[in-house]
Amino acid sequence: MSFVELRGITKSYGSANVLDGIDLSIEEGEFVSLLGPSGCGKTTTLRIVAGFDRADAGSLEVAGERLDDVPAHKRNIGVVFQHYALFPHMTVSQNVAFGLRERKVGKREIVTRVQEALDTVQMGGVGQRMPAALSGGQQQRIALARALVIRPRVLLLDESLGALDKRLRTDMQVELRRIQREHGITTIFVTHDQEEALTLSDRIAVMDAGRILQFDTPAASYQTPSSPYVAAALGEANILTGRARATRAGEAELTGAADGTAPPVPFAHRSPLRDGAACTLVLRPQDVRVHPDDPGAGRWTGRIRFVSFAGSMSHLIVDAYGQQLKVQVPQDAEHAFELREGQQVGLSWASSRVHAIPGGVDAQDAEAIAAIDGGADDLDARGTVAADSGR
Amino acid sequence: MRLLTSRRDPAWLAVPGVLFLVFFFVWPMISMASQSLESRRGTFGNYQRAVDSSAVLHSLWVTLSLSLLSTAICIVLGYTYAYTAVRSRPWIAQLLLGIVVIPAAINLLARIFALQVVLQDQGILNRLLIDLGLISEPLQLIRTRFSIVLGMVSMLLPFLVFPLYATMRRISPELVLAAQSLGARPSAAFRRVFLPLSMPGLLAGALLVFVSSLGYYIVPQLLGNNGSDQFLGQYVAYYVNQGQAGFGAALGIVLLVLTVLTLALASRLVRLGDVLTASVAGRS
Amino acid sequence: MTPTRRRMVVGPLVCAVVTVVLVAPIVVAVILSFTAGNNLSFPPDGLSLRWYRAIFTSSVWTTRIPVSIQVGLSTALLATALGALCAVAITRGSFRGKGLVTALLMAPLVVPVVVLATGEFFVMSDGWTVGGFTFGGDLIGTRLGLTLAHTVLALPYPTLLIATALRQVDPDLELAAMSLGAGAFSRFRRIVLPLVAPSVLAGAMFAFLTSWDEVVMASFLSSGRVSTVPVQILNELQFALNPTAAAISSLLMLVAILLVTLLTVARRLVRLRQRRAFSSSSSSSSSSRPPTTLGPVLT
Repeated sequence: MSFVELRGITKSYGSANVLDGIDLSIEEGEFVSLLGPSGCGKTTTLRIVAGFDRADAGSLEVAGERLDDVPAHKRNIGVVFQHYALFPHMTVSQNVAFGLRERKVGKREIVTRVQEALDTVQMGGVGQRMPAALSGGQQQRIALARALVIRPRVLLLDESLGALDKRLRTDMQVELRRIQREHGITTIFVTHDQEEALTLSDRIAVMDAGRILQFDTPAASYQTPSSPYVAAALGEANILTGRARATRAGEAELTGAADGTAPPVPFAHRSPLRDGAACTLVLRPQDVRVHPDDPGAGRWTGRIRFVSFAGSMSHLIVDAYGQQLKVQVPQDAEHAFELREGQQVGLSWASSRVHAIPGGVDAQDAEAIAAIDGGADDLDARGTVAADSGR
Repeated sequence: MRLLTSRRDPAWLAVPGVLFLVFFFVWPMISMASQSLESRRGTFGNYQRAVDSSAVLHSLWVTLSLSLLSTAICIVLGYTYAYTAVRSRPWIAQLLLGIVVIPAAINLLARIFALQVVLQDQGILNRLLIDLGLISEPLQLIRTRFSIVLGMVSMLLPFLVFPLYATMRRISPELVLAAQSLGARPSAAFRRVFLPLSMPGLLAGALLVFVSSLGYYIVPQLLGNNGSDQFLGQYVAYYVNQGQAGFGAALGIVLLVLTVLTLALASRLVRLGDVLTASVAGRS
Repeated sequence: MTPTRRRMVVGPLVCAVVTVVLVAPIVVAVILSFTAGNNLSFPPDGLSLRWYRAIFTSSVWTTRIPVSIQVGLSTALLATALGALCAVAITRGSFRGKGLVTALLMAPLVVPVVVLATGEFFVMSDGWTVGGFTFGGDLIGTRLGLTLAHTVLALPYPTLLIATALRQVDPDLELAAMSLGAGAFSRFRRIVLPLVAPSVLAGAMFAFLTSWDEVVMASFLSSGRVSTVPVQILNELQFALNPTAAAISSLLMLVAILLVTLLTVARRLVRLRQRRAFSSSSSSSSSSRPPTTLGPVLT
C-alpha cells in the first residue's frame, strides 16, 4: 500500500476531458514530478490532491485515508504556489505562523516552530519584514517554510520555481531537494521543465492529454522510454519510424526509415517483434558519431544543415534521407571545430545505443513531438527554437 | 478561478440589495409611470397635454440645446485641459487635476452660490468690467442662459476631464514617437494616433456630461430666469409641487425616456461600463 | 513650427481660464463669508465672524445640521452594508442574471435625480400598493425616508469600490489559506477582509458625502421640521443672497475638503495594498498578473 494512492481519477470541465483516468502510487518520502506541457492535466491533478477541485470519478487516498470528501482545509497537505501567494498584509513570521494559529498551537510553540522553519530555508532573520520587501527567491523560501511548518503529510509544489531566473532556479532546486530529504516529506512537484524533473525526482510521471504515459525513475524513463512521446519529452531524441525485419536471433533491423531510402538500421531487441511490424527507434543525439571527411564511414550519410557552437559541445542538425537528425558533438572530438554547414558527413552509432519501441507514431503524437522538438528543456515552448533554426 | 465553495453560493448575498432597489428604485419609477397615466382626459391625457403645450416643447428645446452646448464646451475645454495635463510634468499634472477635483467635491449649492456672488450686478465680474472701462452699466449676467451654461460647465467639467485624463494616461508615448519616426508631422501623429486612442475616454465623459445635464434641476433653478427658459426637470418639480402630480409625472417619464434613449443610442459608441466608472471616479 | 507653438500657448491658456472659472468663485465666496457688512458686495466692508456665529445660534441651522449628520451616517451604514453584500455576490457568485443585477445596481447613477425624487415622493407618501393592499407610506419628513432615498443614490459607490477591491485579491491567497487549514469564515476574516477594508471605508465615505450634499431628493422628502442643511441653503438661495449662506457654504467646503483628504489617504492605502498583493507574487520575475480594471466589473 503506497502512501499516496490515486486510482482512476477523471475530471472534465464542460466538454473538455482534462483527466482521463489517472493512476499513481507514491511511496512515503518519495519526490515525484508530474512532467508535461500546459494543459496535460498535471496542475489539475495537483489541485485534486490538495482538495481545491473535486474529481468526477476515482479515488484519492493518503496514508490509507480516503480524502475524496474531505475539504481542503482539513487535509493537512502543504501547497507552494507558482506565485507564492504570501499574504501581503502580514509579516513573514505571521505568514509562516498562519497554519499554526489555525490549529490553535500555543504562542510559545508558534514562535519556536516559526523560527525553526525559517532557519530550515535559511531565512532566519527576516521574520519582521513584509513579503513585498523580499525578492522572488526569498519569497519562495518563505512560502516553502509556511507549507512545511504545519508538518504536512504531503507537500505539493505547483511550478513553484517557474517564476525564478535560471541561476536562482538551480540554487533553489538544490535547496528543495536537501530540505525534502532531511524531512522525508512525500512530495509531488508539477513542472513543464524536463531538466528540473530529471534533476529533482525519485520518479517522474510523464503526462500528456490527461494520461500518465510513463511513471519511472529518471534513468529508466530516459534510457527505456515506453513511448516516442516520452522519449522526446526527456532529453533530446531522434525518432526513427519504419518496419522491423528480423536478421539474426536477437537482432533485427529497421527498414524504410526517414523517406524510405535510408539504409536499414540494426538494433537489439528484448521483446519479441513480429516481422514487418511497425516499429520506432529512439536515438539520442550524443550517441551519433559524425565523420566529416568520410561520408562512407558510417551506415548513413547526410549533409550538415546547421551548426551551433555551445561551449562544451556543438549541436548539429543533419539532413539525412529527408529526415533531420539532431547530433551532439563534444568539444574534445577530433573534428569538432571543422564542422561547417553544407558539409557531407558520414553518420554512425552503436546499435546497442538504439532503443526500440514497438508500434509506430500516430498523428497526434507526431504533432506533440514536433512541438517539443523546438523547445529543448521546456515542454511548453512551441517551436520557437525550431523557427530560429529554419526548420 | 473558481474556488471550491460550499453549498452556500454567494449569489444569494445580492438579494437584500436587489430587494432594496426594487422597493426604492424600481417601484418609484413604476409608480411615476402609473401616476402619469391618471388624468381626466384619458390614459394618455397628460402626455397629450405635454405635446400640446408650447411651454413644454420650448422647455424641451431649451433642455436639449443648452445640454448640447454645455457638452460641446466641456469637450473643447476639457480635452485641451486633459491633454495639457498629460503632457506636463507630474507635479503640474497633479495640480491641474486637483484644481478640477477639489471644487467638484464641494457642495453643488455652495458653488452655485459662489457663482451667483460673482455674477450678480454688484458682483466682482461686473465691477471688474466697469473698472476696466469696458462697460458703463452692469451687465445682466445672472438669470440668463449664459449663467446656466456657465454653471453647468463648472459643475460637469470634472466628469469629462477625469475619464479622459485616465484614458490619455494609458496611451503609450512611444506610439506617437513611432508615428513620427514613420514620417508623420507632430500634428498628423496627434490626429492619426493619439486622438483616436483618446476617443473612448472622451466619448464616455461626454456622454456622462450630456446625460447629467439633461436631468439638471438645481443649476437652472438657481442660475436661470425661472420664466421662459426652464429645464424639463424644473417643470417636473413645479407641477408635482403644485398638486398636478400626473402631469409632473408624465414630464418626468419623458425625461427618463430621453435619458434612456440617449444611453441606448450611445451604447453603440461607448462601453456603458466606462461611463459608470467615470461617474464614480469623477466623484473624487 | 507655428502649429506647435500655438498649441503650446493654447493649452496653458485654457487651463488658466478653467482654473479661474472653477476656483475664483469659491475664493470670493469664502472671503465674503467673513464680511462684517450686510450684503455680498466685493470687496467686503470689514471682516468679522458674525455670520458664522449666526449659524450656530440660529435654531433653523442648529436643527438642520444634526439631521444631515444622522441621515448621512445611516445612509453610509446602509449603503455600505448592502453594497458589500452585493459586491461579494457579483464577484464570487455565479448566476445568470449577473449583468442585469449589476446594471440595476448602477442605474441610480444615470437616472435624473428629479425623476427619482418624484418617484420617491409618491412612494414615500402613498406607500406601496399591491392589489388592494397598501403598506408603508407616510415617510415624508422622516429621517428614515431620507435615509432610504439617499441610500438608493449612494449604493453604487461602495458596491463598485468593494467589488473592484475583491477582484484584485489574488485567488491563490485564499487557496493558500485553505491549504493551511483555514475554513471559509476564517479565510474571510483573516485574509479577504483586511485586504478590502480600505475600499470598504472609502465606499462608506462616498456614501456619506452623497447624502450630505444631496439636495433635490431631500427637498422633495423633507418637511418643515425635519430637513437637511442643503435644503435650507436651497431655500435661502432661491430668495435672497445673504452672508449666512456664504458662511454655511464655506463650512460645507471645509467638510468636503476634509473628507476628500481622508479619502485620498484611504485610496493611497488601497494602492499600497494592491502593490503588495502584486509584488508578493512577482518581484524578481518577469511574469505578473495584470491588474484588473474597473471596466470588467460592469461590462
